[in-house]
Amino acid sequence: MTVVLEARNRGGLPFSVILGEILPAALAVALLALVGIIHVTSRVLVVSQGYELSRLDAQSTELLRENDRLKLELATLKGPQKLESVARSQLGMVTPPPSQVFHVRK
Amino acid sequence: MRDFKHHQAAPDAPTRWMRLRVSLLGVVFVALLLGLFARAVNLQIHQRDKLAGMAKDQYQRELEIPARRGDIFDRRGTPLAQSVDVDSLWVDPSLLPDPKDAAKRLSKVLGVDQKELVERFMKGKRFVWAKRQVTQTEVQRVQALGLPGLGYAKEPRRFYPQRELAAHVIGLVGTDSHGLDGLELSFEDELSGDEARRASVRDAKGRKVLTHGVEDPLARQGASVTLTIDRHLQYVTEKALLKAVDDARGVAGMAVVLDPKTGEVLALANAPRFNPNAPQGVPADALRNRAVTDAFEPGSTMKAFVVARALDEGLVTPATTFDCEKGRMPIGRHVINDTHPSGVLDVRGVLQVSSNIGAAKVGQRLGRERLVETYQRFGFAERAGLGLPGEAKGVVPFPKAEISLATQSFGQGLTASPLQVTAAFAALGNGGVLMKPYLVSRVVDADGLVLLEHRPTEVRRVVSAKTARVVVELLESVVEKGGTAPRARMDAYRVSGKTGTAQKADPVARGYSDKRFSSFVGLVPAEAPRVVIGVFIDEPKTDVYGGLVAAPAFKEIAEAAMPHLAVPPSREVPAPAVAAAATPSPPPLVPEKSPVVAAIERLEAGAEGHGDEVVRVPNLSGHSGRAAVKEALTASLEPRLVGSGRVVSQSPAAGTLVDKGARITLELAGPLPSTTR
Repeated sequence: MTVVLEARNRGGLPFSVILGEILPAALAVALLALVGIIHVTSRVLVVSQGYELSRLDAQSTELLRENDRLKLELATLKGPQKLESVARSQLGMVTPPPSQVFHVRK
Repeated sequence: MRDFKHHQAAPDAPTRWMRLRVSLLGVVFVALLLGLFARAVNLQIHQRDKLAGMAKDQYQRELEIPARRGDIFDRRGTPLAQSVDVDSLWVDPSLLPDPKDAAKRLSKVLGVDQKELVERFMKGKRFVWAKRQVTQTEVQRVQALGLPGLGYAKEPRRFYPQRELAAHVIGLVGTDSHGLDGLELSFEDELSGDEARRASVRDAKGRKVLTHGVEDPLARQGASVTLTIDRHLQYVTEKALLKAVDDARGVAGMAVVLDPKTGEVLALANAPRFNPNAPQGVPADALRNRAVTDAFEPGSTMKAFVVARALDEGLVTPATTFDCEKGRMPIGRHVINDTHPSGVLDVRGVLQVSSNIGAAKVGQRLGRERLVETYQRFGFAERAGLGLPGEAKGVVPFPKAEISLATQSFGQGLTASPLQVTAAFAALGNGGVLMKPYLVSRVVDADGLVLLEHRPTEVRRVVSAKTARVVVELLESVVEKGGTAPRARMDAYRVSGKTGTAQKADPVARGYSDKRFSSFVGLVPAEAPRVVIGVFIDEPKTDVYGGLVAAPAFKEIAEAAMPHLAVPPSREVPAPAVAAAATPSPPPLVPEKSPVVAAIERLEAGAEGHGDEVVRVPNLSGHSGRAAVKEALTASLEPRLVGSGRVVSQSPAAGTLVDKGARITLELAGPLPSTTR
């Protein structure tokens, strides 16, 4: 750029005049370029965050499903029919007769 | 720029040709610009929607997010119904090398109809369901086939972790998670939640890119429903009811447990039961919540309400006596009979032996209008409003004829559901105030907002508190010696109740059949009732009396309910096992001693002096009625014959050890026809 300006300046055009003419245009171009870079960078960031969000969403959904499955399993294992059968057959427990139930009065 | 130009050498004056060329070039450029502008207008304005749609199709997909159906809990927060996402298998038939062979292999693994699968595959669609809501085992088996073009989609499936428990109350849902019966149907709007649709950007590889954030999963979660049902009481109620129906060889059974102070339904059981996790193939009859939807002629349990109103109106006192005419009272061309013929009975006696004649005479004092009004005040002939589908209303017709007044006084000639009868008894246990029974205590949405909350609601006062107390006291005699239900008596708690053994109407013969509807409804403890328990057995066969078939189930439920609700005993009972319980000992390794073993031990112990208390039931099968009665009496048993001919079945079974004087029911049938079909 300097070479060009110097070449064109052989006619005796002052350098300050040339700078005054070119600089605003150069700044405008630089500003546009900057805005463009920022825009593209932000879009790239948004898309990459979108992928990350999507991954986390899938993970969260899977964890919720696992949680639901475990809750269901727990509820099934705590079913009275199951508990009674385990208590009677594996632990040898029996239903206490009414005379063996004690009430603690406050 | 102009200044800059001034410093340049002045250009040569353009020739006219040059000007023309420039003008032509200008025109060409203007024309091109106009063309571009026109094309831009066409694309941006005229074809805007079409092109925008095409672009959207390429980079955007709309995701359907199914709603999460709300859970159903018992009163203590135990889940009774939950939804879990499971895999549903779909197929792209265009990717299958041999659709017929694939259908054959898939049908074997999934247990679906092969022909139906082939039809689906041949429709030319690129998305076909092979089987929805498959199990993990089925997924593994399908994967082992190694077929191309298969995919899995997650779909919510309803599970009932307590299996058959309270199945009739909760109901069930279809494949599309829509309620089909029970509370699942009644609370469909609240439970179902909202399906969501979300736009998602897809990249070139089809991956999801969430550039607009994610939706809160709670936003599509349905509300949760909390019931008044107590899982433990429901379990013991169902267990006792099933045993009672099996023992009585009944067609069906119903049991209702209510809190008389609040009207909360603590248990609502039906037999036969069904597993809502696998409802396929269950007969429609077994799905019916009979305790709520069926209305029966309740029988003698209604005498309690007639007596209560008569006492409340001052028409009778507990000391008022009635001539029960030795068990036979003609009214017009009809005759009313008592099962236990009696002479003069007071009001307590009428209830204790369940005299139809005594109740009819109390009803006569009450009069037609007041009798009907009594039943209506106790909540009969109106829906209780539990919120379950198909709730029965029952009928209390106006007794125009004298015989109708008499029969309605002992619970024949009118209909009521087991829930209504139990709720009416609850009014007696609640100082004469009828409470509205309710099953759902709260409906809360995912954000914690309470959508519905039921609180104890008084319907009306039906009798005075004093009258209610007197009736409850009078009904205690029913479970004592000489009453109709000594089997409902509890050692530690005072029990107040009433038996019912109603004849069932025969719609074909337009009269009454020999089928019975037997029941026992009781309050416990009688001095301050905490629960009212109604047990109803439809068409019992081994024995027909409510005191024999329903009362034992009542006692079993009450014995479990009292410690569970921490109700102190009404009276002290000798506890020989206390000393043993006080000293720590290893847990017993053998199951609870069965009644038969206990009876054998008692028989063996009888060799030292108590042998005359227990007898072995003889085998009377094939005997004529007369011979069977003779042999039963010889064995110190009280025979009861059902039907005529020869003995075809007996209860208890031959060889069973029973107390001396126990009743043995003999079912007789005529000789078989000599010709065969």
